[in-house]
Amino acid sequence: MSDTDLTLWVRGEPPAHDAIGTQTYGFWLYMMSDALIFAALFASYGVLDHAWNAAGGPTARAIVHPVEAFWQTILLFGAVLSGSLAMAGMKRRSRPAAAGFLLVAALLGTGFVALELRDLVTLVMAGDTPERSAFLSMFFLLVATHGLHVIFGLLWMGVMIVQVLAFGFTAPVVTRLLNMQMFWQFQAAIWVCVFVFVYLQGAM
Amino acid sequence: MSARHADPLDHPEIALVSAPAAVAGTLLALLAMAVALLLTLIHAGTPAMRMAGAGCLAVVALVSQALFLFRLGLGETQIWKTVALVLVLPLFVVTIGLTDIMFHSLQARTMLEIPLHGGLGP
Repeated sequence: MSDTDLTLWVRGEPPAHDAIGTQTYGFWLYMMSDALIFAALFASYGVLDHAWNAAGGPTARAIVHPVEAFWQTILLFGAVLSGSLAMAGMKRRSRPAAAGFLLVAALLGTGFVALELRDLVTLVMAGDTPERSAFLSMFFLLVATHGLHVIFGLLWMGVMIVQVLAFGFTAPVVTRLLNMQMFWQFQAAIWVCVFVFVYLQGAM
Repeated sequence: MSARHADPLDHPEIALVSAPAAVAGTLLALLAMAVALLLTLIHAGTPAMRMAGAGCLAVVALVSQALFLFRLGLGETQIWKTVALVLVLPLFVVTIGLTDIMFHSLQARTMLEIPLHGGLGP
């Protein structure tokens, strides 16, 4: 082998590296793994959504309210749209628009969480706690896992509002905003599955 | 992935951000969910037909979100995200579908018939 054919080290300036693209792609891969966690939860729910696993307690039909869940759908989709409008504000280099729409998204997301908590608390007050049956355990776990994701998104949003106003659109802030919005949109995608396969299927 | 950009707001992923696309994606997904809810409330067709219809509408909502909100596509900026999603989706569907089908079909064929409210005792 001649020593002119092989390059072991690139001297001088390294090739251009897209830090933002690399980080958003890494976060995307995390979300794909998160999707598989939800797949495991949906699979378990599919198995336990059976009268035997209700152990004489309520089945899905008795505890899901699709119309109320649709209000949650409207709130969450509105929150995601508002997050997208915040990204559009960032594209226009407007800090007030980005922070303002993030605030609206956070308020709508808080409304979503409030409705979800109300539903879960109502069940608990009626004695339908997670330990009542395997079905209820799985119902609480699936819905609450999604709810916890939304709550984490709300916390992240609060941090980003402060960072946008304090630091402006620096590369780290832009990267975090892109990742946060992907995470936020991901919650709406998972909610589509929860709404259809838990709330609508339960009411059928 | 594309080259480094001096101004982060010049990044291609920022260039993909579009308010009209976000509005279109949200409205399409919301409409699909509204129709699915309507099918459930009016008890259109058999439960199996309703579930198939709701499943199709869920796919419509998810595709509209993928295209208009995540802005996935085959362009240079998003192609590897699209590839990752295409590789993960079969795992997602197979995990849920196979588990569900196997448990429910095996349960009916292999488990003892236990009265739902009576229990095993005398």
